[in-house]
Amino acid sequence: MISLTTRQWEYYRDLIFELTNKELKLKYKSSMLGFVWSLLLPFSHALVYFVAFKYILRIKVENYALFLIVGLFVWQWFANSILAGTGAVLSNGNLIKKTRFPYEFLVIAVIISEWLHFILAFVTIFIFLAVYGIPPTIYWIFIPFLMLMQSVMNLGSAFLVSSITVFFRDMVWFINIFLNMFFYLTPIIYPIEMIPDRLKIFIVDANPMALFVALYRQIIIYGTIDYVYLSLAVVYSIVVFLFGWRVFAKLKWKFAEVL
Amino acid sequence: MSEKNQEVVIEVKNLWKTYVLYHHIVTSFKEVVLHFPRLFKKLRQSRFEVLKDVTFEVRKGEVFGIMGHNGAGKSTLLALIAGVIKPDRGTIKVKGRISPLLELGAGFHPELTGRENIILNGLLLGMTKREIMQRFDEIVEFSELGHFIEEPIRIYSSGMVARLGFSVAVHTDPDILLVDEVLAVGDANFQQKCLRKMEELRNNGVTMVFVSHSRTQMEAICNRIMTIDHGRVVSIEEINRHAEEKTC
Ligand SMILES: Nc1ncnc2c1ncn2[C@@H]1O[C@H](COP(=O)(O)OP(=O)(O)OP(=O)(O)O)[C@@H](O)[C@H]1O
Ligand SMILES: [Mg+2]
Repeated sequence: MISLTTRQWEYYRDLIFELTNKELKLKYKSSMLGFVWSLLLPFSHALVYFVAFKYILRIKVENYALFLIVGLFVWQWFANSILAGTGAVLSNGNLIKKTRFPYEFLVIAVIISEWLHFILAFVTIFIFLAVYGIPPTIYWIFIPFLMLMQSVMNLGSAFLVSSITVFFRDMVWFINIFLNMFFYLTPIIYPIEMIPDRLKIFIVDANPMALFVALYRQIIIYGTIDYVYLSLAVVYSIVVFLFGWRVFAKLKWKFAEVL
Repeated sequence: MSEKNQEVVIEVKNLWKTYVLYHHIVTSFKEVVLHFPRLFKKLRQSRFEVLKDVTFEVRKGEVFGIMGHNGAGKSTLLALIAGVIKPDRGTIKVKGRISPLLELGAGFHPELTGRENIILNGLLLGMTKREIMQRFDEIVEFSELGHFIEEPIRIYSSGMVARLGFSVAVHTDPDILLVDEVLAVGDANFQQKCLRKMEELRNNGVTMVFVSHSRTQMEAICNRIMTIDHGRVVSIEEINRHAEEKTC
């Protein structure tokens, strides 16, 4: 491991803190409700899906509201990290063109800012748990680990999109379509059990987001955990991270020329 | 003042830089999909040689001037020295901490205030927040921005941005200061102040690379002036400044 001096610790702490602070400030620059908006979005989705699936399509899922909220929050965290990632390098052209610094921290700051949002959203889940009368279980100790793993995946994805977007501005369009398709092909509004067996390998086993959503639900709602899912999720996260990081490292030398 | 036996702090050897005009090659995915075979041909055509076989050295404490027509490659050369872009061939060796590239539209985030930008800039230069705050008042005072320091940069005039940029750069203990035409937008008063500050820094052993289109300004402060024409070095001349020290 790299060992850091006290001054270096202080430096990286300050750097991450200030960059994250800047992200948050810019995000809510002239918005009155600020952070509340990022809660209203998944809640409004949840409400619509609840009406459409529970009362119109009559889906058979217990505690469907809670089921939706958990899935949507976890998904939203991933989607927001990617969307914010597209601008992580692009919107900092001024800084990149003048000073050589570890550009990776621009992406890290975005990921931390999105993580803070998720944490705050996550707190509202407890309200639902209280309403449904679901007690905490020992498996909750896995929640921080799960968050860490998803952060690793979000970071890798953001490395990937932030660097590619510099060269292909069309990435933003592509990502919007990709996220939309990915959302419906991930068991978020419907349970895994409804997926036909021959499709499960694509929609669940090969899909890290399906695994993450399933794991959070198992832990929070059903008080169990599937260790196969957990191991797969860890492997996917690390693979995505390494891939995104490598791409970023290759492309970062050209940022100042292209921006 | 002779720096002949001072150590070399910037060593540029047989430097070549080619820009690939990416936007020229691909502007969208449509291009990639529809014209894939043509891309390779375009790739060759869209190369543009900016610097050709550039070689020079700058010694510690020297003020090194670079002149040349618009598009000669001066700013590109500074960006290479600052390390924000990489050369294709040749080597650049730089010893010591470099200031941010000082050029028009300095490295600030337009939506952040002057105060926030000072802190951010300092951090990107490798200083801790504590180190920045120790110099904060000095930076604001030198820039003469007063209460504008709490306003977002986007409402600053170009001279005000240049003032802040210069002030941050000189107050963050650089070993090497890269100045690209920023003084041009400052008013006479501030130009004088900057030139005086540069004299002071030079006397403290700070090395400077200075790009300007003003021959008189260059001769007033530089030890040597290099002229570039279409990416090639045409001359490096010594400026004989006799005993008569200018009073600015
Ligand atoms: N990022 C870039 N991508 C492609 N070409 C570039 C890029 N930056 C500069 N160029 C080209 O390189 C050449 C040299 O540019 P440069 O900015 O170094 O000139 P300069 O000597 O600083 O000119 P000026 O006196 O106008 O500031 C120009 O022809 C310019 O179009
Ligand atoms: Mg220039």
